[in-house]
Amino acid sequence: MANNKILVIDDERLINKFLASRLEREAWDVDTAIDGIEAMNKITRNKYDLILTDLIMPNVAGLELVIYIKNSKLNADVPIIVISSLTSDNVILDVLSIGVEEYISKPFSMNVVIAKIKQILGKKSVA
Amino acid sequence: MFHPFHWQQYPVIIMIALVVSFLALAMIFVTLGIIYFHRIKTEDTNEEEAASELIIIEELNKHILRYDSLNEVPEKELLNVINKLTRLKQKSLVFTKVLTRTLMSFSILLTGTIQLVINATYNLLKLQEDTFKKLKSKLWFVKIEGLREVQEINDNDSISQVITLTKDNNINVRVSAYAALIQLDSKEKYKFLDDEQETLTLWHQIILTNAMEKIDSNELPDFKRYLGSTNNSIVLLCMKLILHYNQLNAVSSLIKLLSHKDDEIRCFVIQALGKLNADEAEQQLIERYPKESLGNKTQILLSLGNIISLISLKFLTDKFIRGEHFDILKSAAEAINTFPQELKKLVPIDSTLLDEKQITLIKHYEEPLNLYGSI
Repeated sequence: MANNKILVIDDERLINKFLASRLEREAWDVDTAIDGIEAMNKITRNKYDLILTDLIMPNVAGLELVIYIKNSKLNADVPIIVISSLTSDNVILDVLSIGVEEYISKPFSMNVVIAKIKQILGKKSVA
Repeated sequence: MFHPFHWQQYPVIIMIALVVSFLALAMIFVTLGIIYFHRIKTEDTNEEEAASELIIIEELNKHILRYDSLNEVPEKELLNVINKLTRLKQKSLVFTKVLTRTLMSFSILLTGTIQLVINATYNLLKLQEDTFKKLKSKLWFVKIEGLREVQEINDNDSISQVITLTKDNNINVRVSAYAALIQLDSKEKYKFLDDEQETLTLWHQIILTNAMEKIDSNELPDFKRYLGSTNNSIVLLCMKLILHYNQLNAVSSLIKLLSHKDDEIRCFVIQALGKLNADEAEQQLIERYPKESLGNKTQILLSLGNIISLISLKFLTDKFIRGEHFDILKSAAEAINTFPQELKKLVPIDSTLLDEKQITLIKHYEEPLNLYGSI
């Protein structure tokens, strides 16, 4: 499972750094972006194995970003996990309908996030 | 040629005007000076806060929060980081404020075992002592700040002090204490629903509801227990919670409240019974109709629209055809429109009995876009 490259996108520095440090502990390569534009730049240049993103961010909204990822050259088939404080059914259904693999609501448990990532990356490597 | 200034040659009124103008000018400059000083100070504080936040996030993530429990953290590493943060905390009040705020944010955003790590870090950094001081403050807003810290950090050691603050003279402090207790592991979580005598404002109700949202809904009590309270704001809050948590076993208690002497309470009961689709309340709602105010009558019609039955439909159709008041007409038309077509066919409305206004209303509720401009 080592050397998988994960992009963490969250404008909340607290969560961004926390996720990065916990994922690095699992021996994954972690890259971070603090807003939608920085994320778009990184998605255009680099290939990732998984993307973790928030929905409410400055500059580019999370949903637009997900669509951007799905239309990108390098990362169109990359699994996406959304971690957001939005808990309305409509939002979750919208996000899942555009191809997001998992939706995790804030507050979240890091152990659950890690388990989901392992599950998704495991499926991907089998495929 | 320069002429020397002589006070004596001017009338007194001019002299007074000059002094007043000078004082006004001086005050303007002093005010501008204060504003400038305040802005510089705020900017400095903001910069210090941002710098402190960076250090705190870095240290906590690198040495503490990357582990699932404090036992996993190497002893020396833990000691070093706690000593470093304690030193910085002792040097600056801003650092202490940011440290507390950051731990609270982590606590709000994360669940699971990490909560215990945050809690233990909070205690190791002796932030609990600062919170205790806030709880003992004489200023109400400082007490509330302390209560919020206790609530967000889930600091169960402070329960006895929080319980003391539930008897504070200030209602805002009491409500914050109730909210904190709801999230803590206390047996007296909902005692306030029996005890509170003062009116809870909508804002207070939001604070309490938010606290309840953060706990497991299985821990919530049967709110029907408190519907007999003499405090109307508690009754209203409990009805909102009954609706929010869909406590259907409260229907019979709600029906009893239909004879409550307060108009606002009755209105909310009628609304709640409709939203809970309480068909057992249908007969009581119909019987209640002639005794109620116009506002409550319209609410009864809307609630009957939620209790889909032939009796309700007949009643609504009758009220719609009689058309005593525009509000009655409107609510009856809205309620009738919620019935399925098959039922509506059983109680057809004779269009020859309707005037133009009634026909327009029916059209409107069948096609909402017709509302504006048609009426």
